[in-house]
Amino acid sequence: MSEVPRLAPWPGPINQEYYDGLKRHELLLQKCKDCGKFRFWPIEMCPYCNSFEYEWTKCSGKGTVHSYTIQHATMPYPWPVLLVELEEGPRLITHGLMEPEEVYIGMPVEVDFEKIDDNTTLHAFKKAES
Amino acid sequence: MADSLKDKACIVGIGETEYSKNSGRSEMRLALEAIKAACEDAGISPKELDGIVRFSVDSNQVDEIARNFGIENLRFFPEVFFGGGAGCGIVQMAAMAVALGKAKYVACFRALNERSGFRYGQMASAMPMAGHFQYSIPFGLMAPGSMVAVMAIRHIHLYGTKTTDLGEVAVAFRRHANMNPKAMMHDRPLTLEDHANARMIAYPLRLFDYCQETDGAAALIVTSPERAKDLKQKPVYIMAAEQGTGSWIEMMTSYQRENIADLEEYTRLAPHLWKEAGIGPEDIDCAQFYDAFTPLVIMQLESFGFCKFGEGGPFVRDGALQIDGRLPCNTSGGCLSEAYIHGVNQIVEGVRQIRGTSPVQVPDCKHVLVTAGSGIPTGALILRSP
Repeated sequence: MSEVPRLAPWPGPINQEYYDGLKRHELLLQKCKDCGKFRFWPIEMCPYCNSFEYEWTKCSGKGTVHSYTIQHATMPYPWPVLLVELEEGPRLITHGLMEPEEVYIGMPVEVDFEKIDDNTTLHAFKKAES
Repeated sequence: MADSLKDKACIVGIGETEYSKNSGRSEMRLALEAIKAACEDAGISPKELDGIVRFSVDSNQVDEIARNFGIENLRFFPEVFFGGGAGCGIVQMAAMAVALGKAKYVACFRALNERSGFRYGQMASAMPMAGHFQYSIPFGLMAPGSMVAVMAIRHIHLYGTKTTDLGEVAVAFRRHANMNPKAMMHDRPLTLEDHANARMIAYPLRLFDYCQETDGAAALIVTSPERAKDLKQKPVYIMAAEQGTGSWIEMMTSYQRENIADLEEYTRLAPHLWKEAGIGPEDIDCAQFYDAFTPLVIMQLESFGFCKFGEGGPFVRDGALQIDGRLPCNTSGGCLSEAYIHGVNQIVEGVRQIRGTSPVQVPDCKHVLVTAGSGIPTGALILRSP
């Protein structure tokens, strides 16, 4: 369990599968059934081709740091927040599981998971193994 | 059929409350005080108002305002969403209504107890404002400043922008606040050293990269040029008024954009704004940029074409944004050092500059650019002298 209190997200019909996937330690993205493009965060329509048809698809979990910040205020210690660009294209905000001074733009990272309360698991990203 | 809004409406009244950390009164009372003051400034009775435009996030509803003033009939009462992004949009709404004869006198206002009431900088602990914040706040991206920090790091990475450039912005606007008796930071000087040594909030942003938190209200009265002739003040013409979103827009976290160091919501509206006004950045005598956080000013200089992309950092160096610099900006102190009235206080300052009545007056000021909130659907105005 995360030792730092974290605000829990609020699942709804559009993102329930995404949060269920995180509980199983799977990072799922919506993949358009018509044009094949991935998107994040969960929305009804493909912003590329306007199709409503999509399937939840497990992504590779690999990406690079596109940008970041180190959150000082309100955290008990300097806390890396990463904007990761996934191999599949979309970018997402996540918690960086590394020392703040290690973070740099272009850093290869891969997905990990953090249980923040009994009902909620979130993704976090660590340095890529290779 | 009008094909342009250029010069079809003007701002004829401005009103403000004092700016403080604790107003000691309701947001409704603040709104009424500012609107009443703006009507007195214009030389009309509040009962003559037939239009009121509000921020969607404002707690005050127009029917209650109309009840307080005893207004017989409002004909026009839209609202503009997206927090501080509504700042210039409310004036655009008013100007369009006046230009099309849908209202004679329209009040635009913002009133908030942002310091003593709900503080936007602590939104993580309060009810989040939009559903998509669940994809950022739970990961530790705790407030709007942190969301902007992610864009700022990218700007630094791509263009070599320095944190001392952020300091230049903070110091310039603080100097103006030191000259403006209404400013919350009137008595607090700030140096580049103070900026560099301040407490880190969200890297690379330190304390003085952040705006004020304010209780207060500001209001404007918009009418037609014809009606303005009979009023008390020299009219301030609305040369251009635009709104825009840019691509992949979402409140504060438009991170799917190709270049997150480009505040596209401004970059996309700027050509429309300059075209409608018939002037360019070189004609602007002073600018009032929405400055919730210092990097936003550097990025807006690029979006509006005051410099090329990537050159916003070098542009602000050596006091360029100060009253005696090459582009005086945020002459009242802005959100950073005057007050955070969601940018409406900066439209008021733009009007003062055209009238020639600012405590930090730009000599012979003919054209002013004013912008609304960054990183969100937003707007901008160009004001001119008659």
